[in-house]
Formats: sequence, structure tokens, C-alpha cells
Amino acid sequence: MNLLIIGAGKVGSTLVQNFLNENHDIVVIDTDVSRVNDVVNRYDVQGIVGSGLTREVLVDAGAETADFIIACTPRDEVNILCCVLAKKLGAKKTIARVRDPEYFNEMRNMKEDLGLDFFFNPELRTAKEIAEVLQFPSAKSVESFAGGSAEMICFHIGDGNPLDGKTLIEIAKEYGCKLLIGMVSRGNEVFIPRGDFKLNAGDDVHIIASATEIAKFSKKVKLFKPRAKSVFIIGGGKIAYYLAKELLSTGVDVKIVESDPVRADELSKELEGATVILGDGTDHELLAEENIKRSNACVTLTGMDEENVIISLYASSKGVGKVITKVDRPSILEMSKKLGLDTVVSPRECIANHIIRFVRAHQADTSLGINTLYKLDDKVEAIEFTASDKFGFIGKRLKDMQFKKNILIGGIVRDGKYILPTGDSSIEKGDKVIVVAPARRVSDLSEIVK
Amino acid sequence: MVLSILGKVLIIEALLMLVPALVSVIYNENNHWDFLYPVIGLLLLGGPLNFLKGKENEMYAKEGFVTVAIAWIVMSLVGAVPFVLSGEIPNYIDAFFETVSGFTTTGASILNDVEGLSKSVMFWRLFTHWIGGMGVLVFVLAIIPGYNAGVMHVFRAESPGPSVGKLVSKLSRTAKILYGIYFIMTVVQMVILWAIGNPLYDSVLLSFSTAGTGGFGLLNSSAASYTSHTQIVLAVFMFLFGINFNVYYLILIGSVKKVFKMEEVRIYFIIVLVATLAIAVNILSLCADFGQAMLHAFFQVTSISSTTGLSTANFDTWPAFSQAILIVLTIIGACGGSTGGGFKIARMGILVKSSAADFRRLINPRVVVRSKFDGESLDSETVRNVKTYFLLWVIIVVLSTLILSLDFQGTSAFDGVYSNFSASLACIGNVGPGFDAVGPTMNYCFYSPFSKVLLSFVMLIGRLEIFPILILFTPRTWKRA
Repeated sequence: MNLLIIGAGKVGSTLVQNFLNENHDIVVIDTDVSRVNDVVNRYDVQGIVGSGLTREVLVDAGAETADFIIACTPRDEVNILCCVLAKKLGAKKTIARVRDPEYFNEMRNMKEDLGLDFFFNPELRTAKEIAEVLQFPSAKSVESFAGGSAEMICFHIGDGNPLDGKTLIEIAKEYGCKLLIGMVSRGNEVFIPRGDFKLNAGDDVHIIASATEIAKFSKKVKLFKPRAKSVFIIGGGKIAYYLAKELLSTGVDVKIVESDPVRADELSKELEGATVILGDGTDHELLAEENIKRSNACVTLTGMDEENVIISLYASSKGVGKVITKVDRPSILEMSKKLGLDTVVSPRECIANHIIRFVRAHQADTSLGINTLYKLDDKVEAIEFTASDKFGFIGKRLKDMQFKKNILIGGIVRDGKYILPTGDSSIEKGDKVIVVAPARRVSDLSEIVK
Repeated sequence: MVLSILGKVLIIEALLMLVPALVSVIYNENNHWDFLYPVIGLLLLGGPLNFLKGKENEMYAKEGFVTVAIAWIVMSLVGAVPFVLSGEIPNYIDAFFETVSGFTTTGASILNDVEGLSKSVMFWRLFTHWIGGMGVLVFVLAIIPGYNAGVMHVFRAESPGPSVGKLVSKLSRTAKILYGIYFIMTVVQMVILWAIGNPLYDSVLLSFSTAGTGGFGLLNSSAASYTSHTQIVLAVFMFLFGINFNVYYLILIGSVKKVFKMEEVRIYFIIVLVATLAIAVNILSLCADFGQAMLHAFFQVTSISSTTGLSTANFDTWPAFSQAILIVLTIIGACGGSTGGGFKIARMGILVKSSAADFRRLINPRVVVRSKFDGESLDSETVRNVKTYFLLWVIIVVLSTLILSLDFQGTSAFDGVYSNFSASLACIGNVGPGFDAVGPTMNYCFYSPFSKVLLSFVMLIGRLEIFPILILFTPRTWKRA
């Protein structure tokens, strides 16, 4: 596919990296020479220096035949106009980043007039992702498959957990739940476990099942924590605004600490029901005064990655049940993973994954049938396929198929119901199949079989 | 990564060397083993390297330069072996010189009697031009998938011209398009040469020689004894191969308008036109009529401009003005992105324009000028690069002339310096023939082995555009810290 990415900043380059792994043809436009050079030197893409608002540059970049235009410059207006122009030139689908809440709300109405196919808001997406994790506070991350019919939830196995030292077969016998352990990350490695795989304390296990089944299981193995009732948010940026709105609508108590008086004033105006505290989030006396200990969860969303990490470590040490840290810079993201932080979210990666999913789902060439893709450390992937006639094993039992090494069927979703795959299960036409495989090994459902 | 790319290059060379072996079988020359032994050697060496997994998989600018430099040197070292084994160029240094001259598409020869070569050895000699014209590494990258990050550095290091860009977003497809154009144009030339009455073998080999803008001839008289039709075809194709290949791509996709916007190509046309007319008028008295003068002028101008180096006339006997024009053409060279060599028109254009802007600043110290090339304003980094390139280029020519002058004295001091200077120019520009002692009817065999090795490296420096070879021999490149 031909992709045209306008803006080679944080999101732009993350997109390039991810799409290249799937072998698309990519052209990147940016007004900054050094950013373009950087992308071109690192990745096999074509770079064009210029403004995506000029017809000439867009034509040069092949907008007329592009399948997708993704505009992610820092300015909303530029992004929207780029997409309008590109659509006029003949681009098939246009995607724009729109982050200003005022625009964003009106976009829903103007989308069709402007010829936009999709617009995304990194802050809103990140807020939604954080809200999802807060629904399941014991989870490190939550991923949905097949429109929410199946979830993949990551739990951390602490010391003294009943799962410590047990093999998967023993766990299945003991608890008898309809779920599957799809990936286990231990230290720097990620395993696709087999039945005789033994879990240890310190592992992060990814469990695939329906949401209710996972909730039942987590209660049994003492991994369950109730939904957060009160959330402490440090830093009052855009993500905090969206998150607070989302949480307030579900009846959660929200306390926001913001150091800028003007912003704090704005927040208190816009967020009815939230407690806005004017002060420095790194001030531990302030945190103690506001009783951070008593809240169920703490989310650090200041503009400084380092501050977020430090406040999070402090909050954990004070016994806050759930701590979520926002980290944006890729280098710090890598390092912070080693610090034993609870849940780390990165708006950049979050939005890149979101766009990739959209592009996958709307590919002109749907023969691949990939719906969702989730990556763990770029080593293992969980991919959701829709089984079509092209898959040669429709109706065959799984035990009659010869799977390639290290391939795991994580689940089959039929008519919105999760089916735990066993040797006697079969894949029928139209089923959504979740496949767990080493990164970039599988791009088509028929590639799972020898 | 560096080693495994090198392994693949060696395997490709082995496969290419099978072609002259086949020619040997076809013509019953019984010297196919002269090619097959090196083929086996290449496979034994390249095979394991190919599968070697280096600790560091990353490819940065330095690694790109080093890979290209090593690959070209190793290719030339091995490519020389058939000449020695066949006994047709018994001295290894001579054979190395001839091979480097082939791969770098220089066309400078050490052979007194090229007509004495067997058909298969002659085939290999000219085949090296065709292989070297487009480069081997980019070919490797084009056909082998799986290299992503950093391969652009290799592409930049091997492709000629000040700014190397991709035609389409994928490097491998860009390379395939360029090789496709190269291949098709070569075949078209072969067919035309064959259709106007040349033997098939000659048509094929002459096409190799011109396509790579090489300049090895099949005859001792270079191109002088061919019919005027053949000469015209050769001249036209030399001219075409000296044009930036992006032009052909733009024509293929139907954007002819953009072709006319390419300043470099416009300048190339003007240079060839003006030089041809000027020389034709200048040599009129030496020729039978104006038509013949035009043909000689056009052939020599396209040959030198495109840095091929075939000749239809002994331009050593031409008047000083004509020779001066040819020296200027030798320096300027062809377009970037073509198979030709030289300093490159684009660089010269950038140099002249930015110098003009600097000069303006002397007159109006506060003036703000932005020089443009190809319709785009030049950023200071490009200008700085071109200036550095120019300086290094001059230094290398001067050093090479100095060192050669220790070796070759000539009939007079002036004669020696002039010959050595023109030899250095012809080698760094990948033209081949120079003037006087290395003129179009002469060759390089009188130089000492040391000078031959020196000139071989000057040719490599010219073909790979200075930086790769210099970086390879810079101690800092190999330091760990």
C-alpha cells in the first residue's frame, strides 16, 4: 500500500517504523530538513522536504495514488487542510490528528464535509487507555479483541501468588477456567508458553479470555482488585482533562494537582465535580496533605517524563494500589520499563497503534484479514484475523492441523462469543481467530500452518 | 552486515564470471577454466561470508562507505585473476590496473595490442565496464530483500552525484527501476548496432563499453575504423548514458515537463552543443569537410563529456583550443545519477552558483542572496559538501601528478608533467585516454608498477566519489573509540 505521512515528529516516525515492518511504501513529508534526513537515513522511505499544504509537494509525494494520508503535524488546522487537499487530489483515505478539544468536538459534524475519513486525538486515546486500565486495576495492560468479545489482560505475578511455580497444565486443572495464557514476559525475554511451562514470581502473564471469565479467574488467584473509586491525577494537561471527564462520568472521585493557576482555574471551570488542587505535584507534603495514601489509584501526567517516574515511585512506596505513569520520550520509556513501575503508558505508542489498527481494518486489500495487532516488546505479537474462504483449513479440527513452531491459537470468537481453543475446536468461515506468534512471522492466517 | 553484504557481492561476481566462461565454450577457446577457477574461489570465499552474522547489524554512514570501498577493491583483485591465468596479461599488477579500469569504467588500458586478446578474455574485459557502470552493491540490495535500516548509506556511497535520492519510496524498487532502464537501453543499443551491420559479438561488446561509459575498445584504433553510422550510434548512446537516469524514469511515467526543469540536464545539453560546434570550427582545416569535422567533434565531445573515452580521431594532434575544451570536459564530466564519471555537472553548477553568491556579498556586504539549483534553494550543508569535495578532488589530482612525475619523465620536463597531469585527470574522471604520452592512440603500460597501483586507486577514488576510499584508509575509521 502507498502511505503518505505528513509530519515526521514523534508520532510520524513511530508510524513509519511500524508500517515498514508490514512492507508498505511510505513517503514522508516535513518542512524540517533535518527531521526528513533523519527518517530517510533510518528507514527505507522516501522523504520530501516541503509543506503538505502545497499542491506541488503533495503531487510529488504521490498523493494522487496514495491509499492513506496521515497528517500528524503539530497544528490541527494544517492537518485538516492537508487532508482536504489530498482528498481533492485523489487520495483514498485521509487521517488527521486533531487535538484541540474545541475542534475535536466539532469534527464529528464536519468530518464528511471535509472528506476526512478518520481523525484521532492522541490525548483522548491515551486517556481512554488509562481509563480502561483503571477498570481492571490489577492488570498492567488491557487489550480488546473482536470488538471487546475477548480481552488480553496482563497480570504481574508477585511473590506468594498461588500461580507461582505452577505449570499451565496444573493451573488449568486446578481452576478450570475457560482462559488461555498467551504470552509470558520474564526479564528481557518473551515466551509463548506451552502446557509444561512453569510460571515464576516476577513474570508478567498475558491472559486471553472473555472479560467475565478473566474477572472470575483473577478473584480465584488473588489478583483481583476492585475498580478504582478515587483517582489522584498529577498534572492537568489535555490527557488529564479527558481522563477526568471519562472517570467523572462513571462516578469516580477525581483529584487533579496542577501547578499553573490559569490552567487550574480552567480545569475547575470545565470539570464539574473534580477537585482541582493548585500546587506542585512533586511536593511530598502537598501529596501527604491531600492524602494520596487513601486514593485507589494515582496517574502521573505532567509534561516531564522524569517527574512522572519519580512521583509514581513515591506513590507506590506510599501504598497507592494502582499507579499509572505517562512517559513520552522513547529513550526514557525503555529505561523506565526496568524500574519496576506498575503501568506505563506512552501517548506516542498508543496513538500509533490506534492508527495502525485503523489502517489495517480499512485496507483496500482485505485478503490479509488482519483486524487487530498487539505487540509485546516487538518480540511477540497477538494478531486477530478474520477467517475467509482462502484459509484452506475451514472446518478442520485443530488437532488435525500441523502448526508451525511457536504458534499459538489464542482464541476463536464466533458470533461475539469467546471459544477456548482445544484440539477438537475448528475454525469456521467468518470466525475471528486470535493468533500469538513471534513478531513478523505471520501476516496471513494460512501462514500458521506448515 | 558489512561482511555478509561483501559475501553476496562475491557470489554475484562469481555468477557474472560464468558468462565469459560460457563465451569461451561457445567460441571453442578452451580457456574456460581460467574463469571457472576464480569462480570457485569466489564461491568458497563468498559463501561462508554470506551466512556470517556480524555482531553489529546496524549500518551507519561509516559502515556504508567502508562496505562500498572494500567491495570494489576485492572485486577488482579477484576480477584480475582470469587475465593472469589466461596468460594474456601475465603481470598481476597490470591485470589489476586493467580490471580496476574496467570496473570503474575508466577505459585506461595497459595493452599495446588489444586485438591479440582471445574472445572470452576480451568479453570479460568489456563486461567489467557494464558491471561497474551501475555498480554491484546497489544491485545486491535490489535483489536481496530484508535489508532496511541504513542501506541508504550504501546506495549513497556507490551512486554518483552530489544528492542521491530515491525515485520511489522503496530502495529496492528504485534500484530495480534504474537497473531496468540500464539493461533495456543497453539491449536497444546492441540491436541497433547489430541491425546496421556490425557483427553480433562486436555489437554486444561495444554496447557494454558505452553503456558503462567505459571506453575499452575492441580494436587498437579504438572507434576510428567503424563506419560513420556506427560512430553516430555510439556517440548518441554515449551522450544518453551520460544523462541522469532520473530523466528516463520521468519520461517513462510521463512527466516530460519535469525533465525540462532539470537544470543539470539542460547544462549538459548546452555544454555538449557548444563544445561540439566550437571544436568542429576549430578542426575544420584538418578534416575533409564540415560534416566530417562535426562527426569527429561530436564523437569526441560526447565521449569525453560522458567520460567514456572511445575515440575516432587522434585528438592529440588537434589545435590547442580544441584540446583545452576537451580538458575542461574531462574535469566537468557527466550528470550525477548517470553511469558517467568526472566532477559532475551538478556539483560544478552548485560550486559556480554559490561562489557567485559569495562574490555578490563582496559588492553588497549586506545583501541576502540564496542561490538556487534545479529550482531549489541550496542549503549551506550541500554547498559545504561540494566545496570540500572540490578541494579534495584538486588535492588528489595534484598529489597524483606529483608522484607520477617521479616515475615518468617524458621527452621533456613539460611533456612529462603534461602527460602525468592528464593521466591523473583521465583516471579520477574515469575518462581513460588523456593527452600526449597517454593520448587516445597510446596507453598506460610504460608506467612503473607503483604508478599503476596509484592510478588504480585514483580511478577507484574517482568512481566512488572520493569519500569511501579515503574513509577506508583513514586510521580513525578503525579506532574503537
